[in-house]
Amino acid sequence: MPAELEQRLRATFGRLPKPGREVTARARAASLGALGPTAARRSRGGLLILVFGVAFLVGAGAAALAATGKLHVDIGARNLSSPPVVSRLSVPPKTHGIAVVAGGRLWLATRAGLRIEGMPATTAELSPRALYAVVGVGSSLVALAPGQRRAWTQPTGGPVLAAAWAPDGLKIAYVVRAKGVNQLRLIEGDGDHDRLLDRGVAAAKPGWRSNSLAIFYRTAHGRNATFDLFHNRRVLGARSVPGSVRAHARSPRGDATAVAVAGPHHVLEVRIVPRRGEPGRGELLLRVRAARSPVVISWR
Amino acid sequence: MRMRSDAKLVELARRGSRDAAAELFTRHWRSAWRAAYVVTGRRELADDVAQDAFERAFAALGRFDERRPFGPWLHRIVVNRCLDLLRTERRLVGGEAELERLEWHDVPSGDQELLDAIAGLSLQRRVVVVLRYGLGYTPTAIGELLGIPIGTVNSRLARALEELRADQEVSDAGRA
Repeated sequence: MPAELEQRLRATFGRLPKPGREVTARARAASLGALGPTAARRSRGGLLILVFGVAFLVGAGAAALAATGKLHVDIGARNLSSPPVVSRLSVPPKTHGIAVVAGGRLWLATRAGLRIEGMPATTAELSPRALYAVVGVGSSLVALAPGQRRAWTQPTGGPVLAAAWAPDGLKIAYVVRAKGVNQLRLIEGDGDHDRLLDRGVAAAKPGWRSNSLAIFYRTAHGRNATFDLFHNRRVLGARSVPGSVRAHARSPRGDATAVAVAGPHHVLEVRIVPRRGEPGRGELLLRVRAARSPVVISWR
Repeated sequence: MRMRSDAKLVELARRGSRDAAAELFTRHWRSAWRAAYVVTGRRELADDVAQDAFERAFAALGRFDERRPFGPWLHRIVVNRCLDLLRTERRLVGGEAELERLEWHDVPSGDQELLDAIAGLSLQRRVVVVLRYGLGYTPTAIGELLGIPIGTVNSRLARALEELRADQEVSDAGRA
């Protein structure tokens, strides 16, 4: 009997499916891209000499042909190889932490020692100074304390799509998909007094007024709305147009913005937007494969 | 043409050969992915874990001790990444929230039962079962790979087989 079971185990492992072609190609490119600097430099050096040599020969030949009018040059789109995947999120300088949810996964890193890489999650939000985090996991909102301890869990009856911590750190507004509609809810920072504020809202991260007395959000019909917590009432605004950036977040000091921009092949890039006059596309923080699922950035 | 050993490929890759690194990838990718698939029980996680393990391994190739075999070193990274991910998830979710269902795509139904039973094992037992029967390591090699005594490996294997056998008997009785 034991031998029979062992044989069955070996046979079952032998019949396991193969990894997908696209996954394999991506992993191969990423792995080769992660080769140490020595390897990359040497091969690039060799490649450079080869390219230089070929360019010289082609150039010389082309000059001769062009002179005789027998050469037509057509430069098309370059076939770029897939970019290396950055799978380890780093905390940007002079900030407390950053969390990114993309492709249904969470990457989170804080100076207080919270680190999560690639865990299935629907949303995440850091508290002011990034001491705590709330994460949408399954049909719950989970609060994490430093040391990755679970502070509390609130069953939500559906996936949490977005959350926003109030600037005073005492309350969290969140959007949950429950009973077929998106609800805007409010919960205290210690997991108490969960209550419904509005139903039929957009699956987007709400914003807070700086005094923590009002929540800005969008209705399911695309209208801006404000929930005034002081007077406990909703005020509707004008129709808004959603932007092309999938998600964005301001730095804690308000002097920088991180954006998530979807690229080709379902690759999502999170970058710090360069300041006016700064060259380049901004510092790359994370590059991951992410389909059309919601994207969230929280930066403290 | 004679197949080059892993040690030779590692040496060449460290000196800058991308071809050698690509050959190492091709040689070990499927086994690493399958190990991650059985330990995590989810295809998407296996994709990420196996890729991440290769990235880490290749990035650290300069620090790799060439006298040691590459396969076990890579598989240790795979296993550690799986354990990190699953433990974090368990710590966060606990028993209160519903975990994602296991997904055994493209697997014959008879095998699915056994894979479900493996997924029901504790993480420590699941890992030794995968290393022993999925990757073919001896108990001694598993002990070295995981940094645990061989007696512990044997006891984890024995208990895992006991659990799987019991599970199989229940399934057979259910069908009868």
